[in-house]
Amino acid sequence: MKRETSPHPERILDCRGLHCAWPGGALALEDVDLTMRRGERVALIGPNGAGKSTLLRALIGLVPFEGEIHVEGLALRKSTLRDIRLRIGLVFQHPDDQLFSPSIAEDVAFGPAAMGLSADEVTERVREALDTTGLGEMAARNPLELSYGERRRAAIATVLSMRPVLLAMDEPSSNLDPAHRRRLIRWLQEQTDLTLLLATHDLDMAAETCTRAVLLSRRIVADGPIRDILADRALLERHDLEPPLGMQGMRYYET
Amino acid sequence: MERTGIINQLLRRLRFVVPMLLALGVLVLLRAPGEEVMFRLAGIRITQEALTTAGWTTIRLLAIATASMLFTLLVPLSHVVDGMRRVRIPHPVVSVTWMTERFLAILTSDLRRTMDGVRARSAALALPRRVLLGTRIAASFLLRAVARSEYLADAMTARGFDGRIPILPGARWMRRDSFIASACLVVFIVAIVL
Ligand SMILES: Nc1ncnc2c1ncn2[C@@H]1O[C@H](COP(=O)(O)OP(=O)(O)O)[C@@H](O)[C@H]1O
Ligand SMILES: [Mg+2]
Repeated sequence: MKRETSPHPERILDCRGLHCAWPGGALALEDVDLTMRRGERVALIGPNGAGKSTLLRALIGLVPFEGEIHVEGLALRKSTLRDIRLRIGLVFQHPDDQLFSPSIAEDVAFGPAAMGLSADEVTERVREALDTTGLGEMAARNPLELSYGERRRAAIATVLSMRPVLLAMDEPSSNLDPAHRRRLIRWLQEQTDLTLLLATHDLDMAAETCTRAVLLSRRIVADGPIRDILADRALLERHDLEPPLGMQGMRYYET
Repeated sequence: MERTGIINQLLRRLRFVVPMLLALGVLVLLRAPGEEVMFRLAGIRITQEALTTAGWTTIRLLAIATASMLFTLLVPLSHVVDGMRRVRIPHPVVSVTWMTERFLAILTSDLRRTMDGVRARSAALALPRRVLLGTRIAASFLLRAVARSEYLADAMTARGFDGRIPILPGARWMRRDSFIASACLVVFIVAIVL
């Protein structure tokens, strides 16, 4: 029997016994339990094909699953889908799957406008999201005519402008040049009241922006303070993850 | 947008359409009935009447295509949404129009990229293998188009789309838009009636 409300409403995210199988029968997620409290910063790490994208997409009801997902105490089902999608901002792995408007500014405005905000508020949020992603100059450009890295940043901006309760990002640093990767890391560090779920195999970025790590390989293999997990070379190597090069010089996110 | 930018974009879009229109013109030329034989080409009669019909058909379609392309280039989609809403066109119709325009734009851009890929890979191939490669790529393009439409829907719902295209700040149907729309309408009517 499914519960309508979570017994732990202070948890922003509460997944219980999550199973995801693809139509072919392949199991992408198996018995995944994951909870997040407000303000927590969690790195979801794992090799290619570990199920990171599947898990993130399941959180906003884009892939069918068995089990339970609660967001701010609200059970994920058809009737709550829209509410939950406004709470969880997911930056897709491929920006081409996320952008659809004739110009960047319109794409970034779409979410806030669909939420019914006033024109002034929408404009303000668009400006802020474009500033953050360094796209102010390109506001009028067509997303289809940008470089991959620019599209990537535009996709991030479309989610930031919605100011989600939980920001979920699917490999946001892949294909970013070093300067923009650094800029994104710095921005994530500055947002101290963010609740962040960051799927990545960029372990350096994970260390710099998150305090907790969840190692996924179809099921959850490890879950704990990111320092401990990144220090476990054997564990990382067993799951095809390359431990960060300079463990001593590694920079960690400090609260 | 600058004027040269618009003309360049128009030409780029026409590059897709003109070959199709010409092919259609040739088809009409071969099939249209006629009496007065102008000349024979490899056993095919080309008549005066068919030539006239084919010529006019091509010109009409070209005028309509150019006018609609100019309209979509000159009038922003968000203005069109505002305009449709003002004349109380129902939301589902507005949404479908919006999504159709967007989907076509996205597919065209995909197609352009796919064709670049074909060119890059097929240059050294003999014709039969080139056709084979083209067919395979066309098939995968169609599959991708289906996936694309699903992702487009996902992306829209993920952003709180509830069946209504939101009104964006500053997106107003303007007098300029009415002027462009009327001009295009005139071209349409002339092309169809004449
Ligand atoms: N649309 C799909 N249909 C079938 N299988 C899929 C699909 N998308 C992903 N998978 C499979 O699910 C597994 C997990 O994929 P994914 O969640 O994308 O992993 P990750 O994001 O960690 O790289 C992989 O084995 C992948 O092949
Ligand atoms: Mg992935």
